[in-house]
Amino acid sequence: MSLRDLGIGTKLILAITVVIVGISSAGSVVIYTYQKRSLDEQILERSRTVAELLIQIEDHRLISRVAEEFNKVTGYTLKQTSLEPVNPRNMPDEFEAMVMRNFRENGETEYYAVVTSEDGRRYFRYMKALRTKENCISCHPGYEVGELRGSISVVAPYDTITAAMKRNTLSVLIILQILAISTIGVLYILSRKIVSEPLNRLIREMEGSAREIQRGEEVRDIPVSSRDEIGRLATAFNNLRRSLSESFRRKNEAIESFVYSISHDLKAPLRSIEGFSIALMEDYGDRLNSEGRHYINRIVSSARKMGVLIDELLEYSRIGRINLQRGDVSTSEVVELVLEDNLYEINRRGAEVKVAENMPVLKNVEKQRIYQIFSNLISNALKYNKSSTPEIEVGCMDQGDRYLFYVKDNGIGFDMRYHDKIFEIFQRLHREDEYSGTGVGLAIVKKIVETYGGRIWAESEPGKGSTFYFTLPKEAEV
Amino acid sequence: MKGVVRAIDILLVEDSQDDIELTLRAFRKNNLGNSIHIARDGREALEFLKQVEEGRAQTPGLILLDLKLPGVDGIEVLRYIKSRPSLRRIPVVMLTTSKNDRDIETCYDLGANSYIVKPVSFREFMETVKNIQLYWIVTNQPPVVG
Repeated sequence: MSLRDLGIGTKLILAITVVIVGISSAGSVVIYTYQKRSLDEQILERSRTVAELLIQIEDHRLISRVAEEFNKVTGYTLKQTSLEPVNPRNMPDEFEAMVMRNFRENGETEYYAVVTSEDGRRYFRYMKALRTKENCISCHPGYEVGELRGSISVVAPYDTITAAMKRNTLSVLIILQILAISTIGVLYILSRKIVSEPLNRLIREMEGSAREIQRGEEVRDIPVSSRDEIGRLATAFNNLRRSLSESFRRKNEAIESFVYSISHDLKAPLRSIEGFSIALMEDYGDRLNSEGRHYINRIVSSARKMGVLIDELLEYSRIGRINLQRGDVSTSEVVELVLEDNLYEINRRGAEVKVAENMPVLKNVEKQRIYQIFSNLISNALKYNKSSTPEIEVGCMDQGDRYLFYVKDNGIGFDMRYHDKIFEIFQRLHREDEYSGTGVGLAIVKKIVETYGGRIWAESEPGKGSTFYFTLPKEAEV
Repeated sequence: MKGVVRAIDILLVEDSQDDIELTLRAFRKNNLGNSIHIARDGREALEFLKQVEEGRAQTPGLILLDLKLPGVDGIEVLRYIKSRPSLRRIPVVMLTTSKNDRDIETCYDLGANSYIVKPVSFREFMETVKNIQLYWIVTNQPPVVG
């Protein structure tokens, strides 16, 4: 699933989530860095201050006392150290010794660093050089002024101090994230209420309306429930729909009246041909020989056939264009009706008709069209059949969202080479005097099936009967 | 039971020669012996009706009026008939190919007494014309005209 498939609401929420998570993460990093820097400065300042203070104290013993007190209060370790200690307590550790050697060589007075000790813990270490001052000389005459005597060493437990800061930063981060999540949640609900749901409702309404327009039905306005962009969209759609369905209705009316007048104007001369032929037969039949009367009969039957053709053509043109009444249609009832209407022919031929028990009910279909399908297929099965006992089988299979129907016969069958031809309008496989017909029936069936989104095909072999298959959706979409 | 066959005249307004002949033939089959005056278009129909008003022609007891006529059409003829005091009571039967709702409404609004769509098949056409004649000449009780 790509980003393009997501709904507008989801996209907005995603964008907001990314922004908020980004901002809060960046904010946490900034806060953390800032706090760390000020903490480092604070530790340095504290170490430097106490070291400066100690340097001012002349009494060595007092120095030790102050250091002890300081250590107790701060948790730091503050001590004096010397490269040549008199007191073993002032023995330098490795770091101190190294720093003091540097002090002695380059004359620096201060050094600090964060050092990881052997136990893996980090310590902030501060060292201040103790150099001989002038007032020292009076008591220590052998000393030179500025000579390195030792150092004040401050060791601050860096991990412990920064841990608190990390905890603070983490809680800020957590609070930020909670805020972010609740904001996103609220926005999500709002976007559904304000954007997604009204939009989806509108889309459903529009789709329904579009189908109604397509069917040329009376369409009602879709409801306009707000004055925001969605409301304006609905209003715009209503305006579009009105003009569309009006032009659609007019066009359909024009086609229908055109088709009607064509069929009328074509049929009026036929009425005369038939009428005057019959008048001729009635009034002058006795003055004609049998050949003359035969010709008149041919004229009459041709005129009638043309009438049937025009009617069928008219019917063909109406499929899918003119909407008939729709509803639930029981195919078993329809087949029953077809059999009743063909009862005379069925009895005359001694045909055996088997209809499956599981014939389903189709939803939202035009009963007359379903009747036309079965009527054409069943009457064909009877017509194109030379068997002494014509057998017809009507059945159905469930195929998930659609049904597969079939009408099987033991009739004359056809060569599969002509499979596509038989469904074409006015295409026939037989001579008129062998099997009567106009070649419109199967074309009508095909058009109805395809109008419903189904498919029709046949399987056959000359002399071995035919089976016509067609599919129809369980619920027609219209 | 057969009603009394009144010797009334019929005015047939029809432009198609075929339809005129077929209509006459259907009338003949009924054997009611009405005399029939034929107008081939609206103008001819109006001329005849004026003669009737002036007393120069026999007032018809039934008018069969086609709607789609060249020139003056059936609606105009109907409007004329229903607006003339001496003609308005004559039963007018519209006999036309139009199934148009507006045509039907207009005709009834103007006072047409019946509206019949010409059947397209010959047999039904013959039946319909015979029925019209039987109903309006035999069954229906017309007003006294003339």
